[in-house]
Amino acid sequence: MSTTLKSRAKNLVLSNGILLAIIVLIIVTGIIEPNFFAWKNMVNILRQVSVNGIVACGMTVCIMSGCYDLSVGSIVSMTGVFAILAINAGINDVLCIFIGLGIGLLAGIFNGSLIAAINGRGGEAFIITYGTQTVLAAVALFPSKGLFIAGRVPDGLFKLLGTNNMPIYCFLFVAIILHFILSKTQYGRKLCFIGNNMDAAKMSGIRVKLNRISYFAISGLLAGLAGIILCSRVTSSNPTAGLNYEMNAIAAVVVGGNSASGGSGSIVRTVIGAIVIGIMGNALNILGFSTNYQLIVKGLLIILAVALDILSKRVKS
Amino acid sequence: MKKIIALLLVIVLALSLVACGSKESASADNQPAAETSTNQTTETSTEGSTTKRIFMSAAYYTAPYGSPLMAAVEEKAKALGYEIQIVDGEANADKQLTQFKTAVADGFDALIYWPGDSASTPPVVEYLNSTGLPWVDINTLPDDSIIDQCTVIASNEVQIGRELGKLIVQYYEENSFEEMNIAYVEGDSGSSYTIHLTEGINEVLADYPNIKILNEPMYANFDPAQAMTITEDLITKFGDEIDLVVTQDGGMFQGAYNAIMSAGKLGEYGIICQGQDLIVKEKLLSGELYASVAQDPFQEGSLAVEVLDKLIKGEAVDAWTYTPTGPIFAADIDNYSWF
Repeated sequence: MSTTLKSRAKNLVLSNGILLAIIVLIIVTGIIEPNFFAWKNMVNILRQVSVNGIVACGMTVCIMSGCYDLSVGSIVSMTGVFAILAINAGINDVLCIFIGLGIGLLAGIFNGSLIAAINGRGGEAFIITYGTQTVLAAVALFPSKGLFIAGRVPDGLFKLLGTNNMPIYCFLFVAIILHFILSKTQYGRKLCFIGNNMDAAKMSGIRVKLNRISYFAISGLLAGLAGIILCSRVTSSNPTAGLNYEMNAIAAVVVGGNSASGGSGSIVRTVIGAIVIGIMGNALNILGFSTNYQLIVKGLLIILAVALDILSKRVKS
Repeated sequence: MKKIIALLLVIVLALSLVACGSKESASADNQPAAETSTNQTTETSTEGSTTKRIFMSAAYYTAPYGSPLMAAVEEKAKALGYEIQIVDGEANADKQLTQFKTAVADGFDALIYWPGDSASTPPVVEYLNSTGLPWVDINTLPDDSIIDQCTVIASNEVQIGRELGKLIVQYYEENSFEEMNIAYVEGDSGSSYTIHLTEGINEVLADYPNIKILNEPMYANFDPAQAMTITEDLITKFGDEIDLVVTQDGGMFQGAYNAIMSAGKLGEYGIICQGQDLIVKEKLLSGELYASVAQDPFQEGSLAVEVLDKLIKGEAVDAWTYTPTGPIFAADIDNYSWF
């Protein structure tokens, strides 16, 4: 009996170690700095994680399929630059949103098509999306001339996307839709199958190439949405605004407890991962830790997440 | 199918290469300098080998400050009759050293070095001096141990910090605060620019014990979104204790401004920043930004080529040509360039 309890407790800690660690951090921060628990601060945290959370949702789809999409940071930059330039040129703001989303979607389809065409696995996808990351980063530089662009954003949908709690609603909307698709539809089950064993999926009649293109298309589309929300939030854009977003998104996926090697995963876990990283940053800011210490803690958190994932798998097996 | 895709890709690549080549040659004369600055470009002259060639390795090729700086370098070089090639040094001293070695082997006549940080400059400076070619250091100061071996065109970053410090004091005195608290958002933890600015501010504030920086060092990496997040968190922590928000550049000012606006504190906090971005100009005019401190990339780039030109001609130059700095208030905006 006691052995069963022990093993259950062990499993619980290994499966939810990061969550437990963050609960401790929340309690400690709340005791030291009561403002931390203020509703306003909670909303702040959610707003701060929304952009990364949306990118991370797209990244989850790619990681579940066994691939990483390194181009999302550049897509965030590029859509932001084009959208804000279009806004400044006086184009209708709803059309600007569609321009941004379209650019993201096209970039994603381009990535997916290249990878599917060469039948690339995780390694090839890593390199190809690194290549497109570099190309797209340069594409963002051309129209902006490398400059920071202040937006003249009129009242309307574009402005609304970045103000008040709208980024949070967008994040939750994306997360709920994707969670439903991945957990309740055939498409989600195929995704796990392809992520686990692509050859077997192909032999069982799944249209692997088309599915894989769609994974990168989703990732690109969501990066485009994130880019629009980001530049609406700061009413500006710059060609390096999305720098490191791909890594932050991967961190959110992994810290949430998703497997880094694909084949399984959950949007709920990604949402938790993004919020955990946001809470950590906010708590350390509020506790007065300088950025240097925060980076150390963030890095250790990612390492801990991967270690717990591996240990948990060993225990289960 | 695969063969067809491969063939198509090859054709697309070949066509795009041809198209790029023809476009460059067709539009080279008409293209504004600012546009060409975003590429790694070589502006080749048709006049033959008599034209001298300048090579520049830029550490911050994609930084907003870099674009007008490199545009000014290109423009001035062109005006003085030089060919110029600018490459991305990616703030990597080893890469920049290799770039310079290649440029020297390639027969360039003069060099411009924009280092990523001061500490990594000695080996590059040693090599540049060993080439015997005229060269200048731009924007980032070389390490103190070798600064006397260099011709420098840069702002005195500590002086920029002092100017920011003076503006903080001026704001403090104008508003008759007994005690004043500052939320301070810095750039990049490793860069000499960030360190020197903070050094200059602290130097001035040392005489004013009633002015206090509330927070531990918070680095937004010159990114508006990160600056927004940091400012939101600082507002959560300190709320009404904050009297003034100070940022180290115009991009971070934009982020901090949005955070202050979201928190409904616009008008309650004073804001001071460094920079000549267009958004800074706009908010100076609207009165929402108290003041800024000048650091002009156009002037810096132009001065660098002027000094290099003198070195090429064997004329004497100052060891350090300062890019002028000083406070900018709303009334002064017409005296400055904005980017």
